[in-house]
Amino acid sequence: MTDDERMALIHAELDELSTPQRADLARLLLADPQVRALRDELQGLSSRLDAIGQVEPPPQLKDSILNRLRSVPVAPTYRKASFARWRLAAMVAGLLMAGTIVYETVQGPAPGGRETAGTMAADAPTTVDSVVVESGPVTGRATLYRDKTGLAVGVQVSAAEPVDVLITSGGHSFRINGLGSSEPAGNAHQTVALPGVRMQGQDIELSFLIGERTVSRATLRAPAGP
Amino acid sequence: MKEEDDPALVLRCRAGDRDAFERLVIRYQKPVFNVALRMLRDRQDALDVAQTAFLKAFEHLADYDPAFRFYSWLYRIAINESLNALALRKPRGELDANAADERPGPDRDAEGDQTLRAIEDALMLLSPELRTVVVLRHITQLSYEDIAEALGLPEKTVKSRLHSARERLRDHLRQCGAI
Repeated sequence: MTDDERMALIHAELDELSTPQRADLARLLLADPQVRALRDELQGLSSRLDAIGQVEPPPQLKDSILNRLRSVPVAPTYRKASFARWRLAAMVAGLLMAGTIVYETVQGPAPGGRETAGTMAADAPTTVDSVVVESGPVTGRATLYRDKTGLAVGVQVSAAEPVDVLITSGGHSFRINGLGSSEPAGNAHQTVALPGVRMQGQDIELSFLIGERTVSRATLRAPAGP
Repeated sequence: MKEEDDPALVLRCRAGDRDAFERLVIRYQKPVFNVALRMLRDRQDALDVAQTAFLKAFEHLADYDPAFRFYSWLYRIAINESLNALALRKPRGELDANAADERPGPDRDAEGDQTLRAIEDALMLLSPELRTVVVLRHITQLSYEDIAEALGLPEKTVKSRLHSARERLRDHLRQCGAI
């Protein structure tokens, strides 16, 4: 093992080691007192840095900020689209916090007759719209289905990491978490019913997130119903 | 009563609710002030930066992407303001012996004080880029993921910078006999 590799391993210990790394480091520490000394030194430094901690800000900080804010317009101008995203994100977060988010997530293959659960189970759904997702690290397809009881979105993706999907439409929002986290090949499919979403000629926006970063978007169209 | 989360508070701010922003100020004034303090090592400069960071956050809420954590965005502003303040600073040459000596604990022994001061000195000898990752990791205790988000860097780069920073800190501390 080179010096750089030894050093990388010691730093990795501070960052959390994987099991094989832990075994490698244990062997190194037993075999080489210099590595032991180096590791102790860096660990000590890391602990001292952590121990610096945070000091309390002066009490006047908050008041001075709020005083200065009085000269700023009450409602900052905002982009409409951005505000809409915000409203929906806040709604999702709030609902999740309160434990009252209502969504139906169905594991398994694409909707088809009785394979679909919840309110979609009674009727064979028909495809309303479908888009290919192929930007960023997520590829696949999103499909909007409809049956007598309502709408549903099916998402089939392939990605190297688990993907969360945020689905928003007309003030409603739904979230699929960790899509693909249990599929070995990185392929995953889920369908989520959209209770309350009607066919009114509106767009249904899908945001694909990896680690809370939006990595891709897609839009489905729900035409005005008969 | 349950604390409102950041997205809900920001939404209220954008609707013109100043109380909501006050809640965010209360929630984040300490870490933002500490980020600035450790970047600048000057209490007054840190106060100025913290104020400016919150004002800019308020003024630019429209630009905030809710796909990111609010605090990552706020820390990014605080870091950028700190870097601006550093860039505007006249060269100080020797480390200021009267620089901020901030400590959370009430009773540090003399040896502990010396070590703390040596670490603070060594921190200020790092480049701002390296100091930034040390401050975010060890002072604000952010995860690598959060640091990467705040700085707009890949996690791998964050780790690499942190490794370099620790090694340089160790070298400085060795040179001055602190370790």
